[in-house]
Amino acid sequence: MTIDHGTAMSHTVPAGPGMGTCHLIHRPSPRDHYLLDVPGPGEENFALAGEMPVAHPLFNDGPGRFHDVQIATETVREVGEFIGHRYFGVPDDRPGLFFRLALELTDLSGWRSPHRLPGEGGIPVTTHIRVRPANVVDEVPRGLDFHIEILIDGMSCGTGAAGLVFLMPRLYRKHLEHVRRAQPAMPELDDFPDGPPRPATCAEVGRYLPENVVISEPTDCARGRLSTWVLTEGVSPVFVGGDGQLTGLHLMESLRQASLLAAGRTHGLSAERSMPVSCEVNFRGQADLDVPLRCFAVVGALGRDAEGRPSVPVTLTVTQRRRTVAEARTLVVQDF
Amino acid sequence: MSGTRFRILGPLEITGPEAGSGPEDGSGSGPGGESGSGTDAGGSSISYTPRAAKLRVVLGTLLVRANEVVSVDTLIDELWPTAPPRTATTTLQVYVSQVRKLLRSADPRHGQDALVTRSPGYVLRAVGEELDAAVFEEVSERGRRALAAGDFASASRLLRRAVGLWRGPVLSDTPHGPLLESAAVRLAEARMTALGERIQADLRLGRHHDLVGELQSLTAEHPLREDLRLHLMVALYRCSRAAEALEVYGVLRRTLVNELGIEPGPRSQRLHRRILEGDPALLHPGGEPQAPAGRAAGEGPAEGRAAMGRTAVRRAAVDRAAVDRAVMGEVTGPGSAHHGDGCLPGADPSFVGRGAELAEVERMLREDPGAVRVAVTGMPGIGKTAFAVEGAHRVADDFPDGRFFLELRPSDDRTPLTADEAVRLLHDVVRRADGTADGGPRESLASRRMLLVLDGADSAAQVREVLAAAPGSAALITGHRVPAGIDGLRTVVLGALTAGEARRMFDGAAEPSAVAEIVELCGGHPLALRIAAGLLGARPHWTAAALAARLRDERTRFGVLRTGDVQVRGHLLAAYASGAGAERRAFRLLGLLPPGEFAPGHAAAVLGLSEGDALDLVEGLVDAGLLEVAPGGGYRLPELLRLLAAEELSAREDAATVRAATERMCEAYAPQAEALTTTGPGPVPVPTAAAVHVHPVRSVRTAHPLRPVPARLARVAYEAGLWELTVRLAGGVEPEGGEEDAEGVCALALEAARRCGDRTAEARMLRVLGDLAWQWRRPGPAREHYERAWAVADDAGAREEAGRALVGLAELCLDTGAAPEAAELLRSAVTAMPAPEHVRGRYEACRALALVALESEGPDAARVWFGRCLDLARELRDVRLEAYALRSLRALHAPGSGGAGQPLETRPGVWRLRPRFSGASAAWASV
Repeated sequence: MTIDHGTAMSHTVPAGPGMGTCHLIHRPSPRDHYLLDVPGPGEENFALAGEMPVAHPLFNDGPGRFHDVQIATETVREVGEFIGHRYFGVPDDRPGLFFRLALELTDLSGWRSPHRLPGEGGIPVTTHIRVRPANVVDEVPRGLDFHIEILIDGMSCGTGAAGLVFLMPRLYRKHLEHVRRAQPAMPELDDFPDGPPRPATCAEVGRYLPENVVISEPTDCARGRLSTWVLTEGVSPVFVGGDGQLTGLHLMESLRQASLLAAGRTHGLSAERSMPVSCEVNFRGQADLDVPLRCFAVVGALGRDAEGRPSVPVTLTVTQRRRTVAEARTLVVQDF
Repeated sequence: MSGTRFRILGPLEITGPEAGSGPEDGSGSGPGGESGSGTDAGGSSISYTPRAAKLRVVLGTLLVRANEVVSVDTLIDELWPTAPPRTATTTLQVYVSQVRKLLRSADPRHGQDALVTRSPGYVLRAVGEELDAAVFEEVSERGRRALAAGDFASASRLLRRAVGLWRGPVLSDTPHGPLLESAAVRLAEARMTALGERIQADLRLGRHHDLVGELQSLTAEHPLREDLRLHLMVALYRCSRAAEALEVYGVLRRTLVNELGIEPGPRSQRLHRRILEGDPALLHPGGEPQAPAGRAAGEGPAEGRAAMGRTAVRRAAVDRAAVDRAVMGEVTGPGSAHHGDGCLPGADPSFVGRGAELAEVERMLREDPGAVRVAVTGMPGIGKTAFAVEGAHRVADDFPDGRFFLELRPSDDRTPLTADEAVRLLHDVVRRADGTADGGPRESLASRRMLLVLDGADSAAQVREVLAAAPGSAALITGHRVPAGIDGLRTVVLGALTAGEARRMFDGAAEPSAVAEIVELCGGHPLALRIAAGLLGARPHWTAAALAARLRDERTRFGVLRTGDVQVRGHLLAAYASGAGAERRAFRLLGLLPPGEFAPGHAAAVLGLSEGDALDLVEGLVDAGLLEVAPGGGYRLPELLRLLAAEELSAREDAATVRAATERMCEAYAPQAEALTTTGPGPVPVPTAAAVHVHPVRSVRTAHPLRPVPARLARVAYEAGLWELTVRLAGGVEPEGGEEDAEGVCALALEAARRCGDRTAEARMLRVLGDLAWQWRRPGPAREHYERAWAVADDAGAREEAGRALVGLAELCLDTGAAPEAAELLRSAVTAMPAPEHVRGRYEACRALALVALESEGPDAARVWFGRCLDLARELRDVRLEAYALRSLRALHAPGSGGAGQPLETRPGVWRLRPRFSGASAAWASV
């Protein structure tokens, strides 16, 4: 057979950056490599390989000094449930819900977004994921613990952990019904803004597009404490879920924006040059989109990180009708 | 010694022999009118306890300070604490006179001398067993020593006896002045200490069931004593009453918070955590938290030898350098005396792990405590001595005639004891324990039921003679080699600690992944781990990750694993040096083998011998503790011994020998690596000769085919300049999944292929590099590699490689959504790889065509191509590829299959995820 080298190569392989596709690679131990149909009894290892997005409506919106940290958390959130169903034998009708998420950027330099020339290709990002089953009942885990390490362009620059729980379908439905039923029963817990909340300034939350601003101008602001509302109307479709509930991305973005805003208002950190280098979030309950959500931030003392950069710890609480939806601790650092 | 007995541990009591029963029949006067005379319960002695309170105060004060001068002023203060009368001195003299009279009544012969006047006051002489408080202190001290020495049965007996002397609070019927009050407090505290230690000994003896009731009563009586609550928690936990154990902690915490405003101490908190975690170690005697060390002389727990081995035990006694103490976790105390005295060393509070092996030894010794002999062997430093000592403590109650520790090799730099010397040592230690003078005639030990720990046994003759001298005794025999020819000998082989056991040594370390790496780098070797844990403890500025990084370099690992004069390498080297020349050479050469299990065929190759001859040497190394039998049936060089072998190899063998052995080894592994290329990474058929070998002594049958480690071997071959072998071995490197270093090895193999002019191999390596780049989502380099692979394959006429390069390029097209271009490339690929050859290549083409069909036509079209994949995988007999085809066919039936948002398994274990950007999937939960 003769293959026309020139012809075959010239028109068949379009070059250019990827379209956001990534690969989830299961990395079994060599001995178990051929037993892919058997749910794993213990720890399983994966790698998520892809490129930094270049045209994402949220992650690529803003000053662009850094890669968006949420790329890491979001990808893990997306694959977590799939890994449980596919590799740990969790029935497909059990939805996976994250109740804990932590991320620490171990090397900020890796997160600085370099200038890439056209045709240079995307920046490879790989997330190594170690997954352990938790609370195993009848050989099926009720939850999974994730430990991640993020490599950007081959350089290790972040670690994290997450906890995912798989709920029984009936239990989950009852839980949602209970939450919804309980809310109107207690009018004394109502917590609404005085008027339509005004979005915070784009520059103060590190975004350019107004539709990506998901917190309001602070309503109370005194002595390192500020209170904002999470915006749910008029926001980018990227935040919209399908079941009338606040999505994980929406919540995480509101925590990020509130952290930057609080650090800027209290200690003057520039949102353009700042990012949360660590965050630890505990999710306490579901939140409905049609009920106002308050995000309360308490800012700690201004400090310096190991490299002398200004750093500010922020403690955040998101509530809906005075019920805690999420608690978070972040550390905002202003880069040089 | 007189017959008078003074009892102050409770109401005051003075008793003397009944008239006619004493040594001076009828010579003494009867009890005075001021004393409450009467016959005691036994009927053999009469009470002379004074009724008058003032007399009891004088007597009590003199008795709590027995054999010491008690000044007149002290006595006056005790009699009249607030306002002594003007006639106090005179009155006191009257009282003293009455006491003297009473003492004479109680003991007509010695009584008059018992109370003497000594300036500035009086001395009451009470010796030996005359005073119960003195007896209590002496017996409880003996019990405490037995506890420290790990003789729990004796400790329990003695301490029980000591506590049993108490009849109530000290001098409870006597008014207390300042001196009596302080003495009462001191003695009450001593009683509680003895009681706690007795409970501790009982717990070690497994008597937790009996203790629960007593402890519940005690904790109610002493609600603020944490130690009693701890004992109760442990006892309940061992009785499978974990919930109640946790409740005890809750009560303790509430009590401390409410009463004192403080939290329970760290030991209580740790125990609480261990119960919450269901720590299985806590179930076994010895797993409970130990009493804090260094309370008072003689009270410290025995020295921590852990799994350190004989030399470290001895060293602990003589070398008390501060750093070593910190590093080795030693706690100095009277128990850390030199063990040449034959005393069994104390139980080690820091001993961890070996649960299954200890249970086995305990079962064997308890089943037949008469004359069972158990050999404990394993590689140097694995903790044989510590294990034997721990085992001996666990069966203490079954050996009432004592447990002895005989060092048959007193130190590493001295020759082992001869058989005669060993027997003499046994008789000496037994005599010493009996309190018999040295040098007397030897008593027959045949009737005794002792447990002998024969440590460092060197020869069968040595052991046989000792056992013949004590035929009714059981023995735990430690040594590198199992002494052959001992009747009824059973053997326990100690291997590496399990990961869980090893991690317990690093309780305080907060980096579990780094600790896991340290455990792996130390090969689970107890001594190495003990040193590593000690280094972290002694140098708080070190993190576990930093230590792991230092240990990662094989060349410097031994240098790190040393502290003071304790070093892992020395232990291993001593065992290596004791072998014969041929064994030492074999050991060195086996260091060339990749880590993990190996078959006799691999050993034969690296040694350049027939399998039979190689197996003889290998078995010799197993006997010497330098090699271990792997669970799979092959052999394994433990990690640290592998390092030592590699070190010795480079130091003692010339380059030509090493290269030749390397070549033989690579040749032996190459067929298996090549098999991986054609059959995929499933079970690899290994040549029968390598898997099964019938040896005169042992038939070696590996339970599963041994997998080569292609990446490591290919690197070794490359470094030795073995180009063709590099290429052959790199053929087994798996593009998908596990291999961390696949790209680096493929790059080396590419270079090797070019050096040996193998164009097909060059194309294959370029294609594999393309696969790796594609897998890790680097489309640019992937395209470049595939194009170069295609060019080289085309040039070399390697049709299958050319076809597979085209498949790779087609998948790149699919990634960009260019399905028509992908289909065109795949048509060329199929043409390039005609049937019936190129089965693997056609499988890959059909797989890619299925993906194209799924993208452009739908599941039905894809089903046809995955069906062909299934046929081809079965033709290849590759279970992994077959499983992939079956999974893909099943997935096509699933609702929503082929949807754009659905993950798609494009290659086995590699899933393509298209972006969703919705954030609407898994949200968060209230938990």
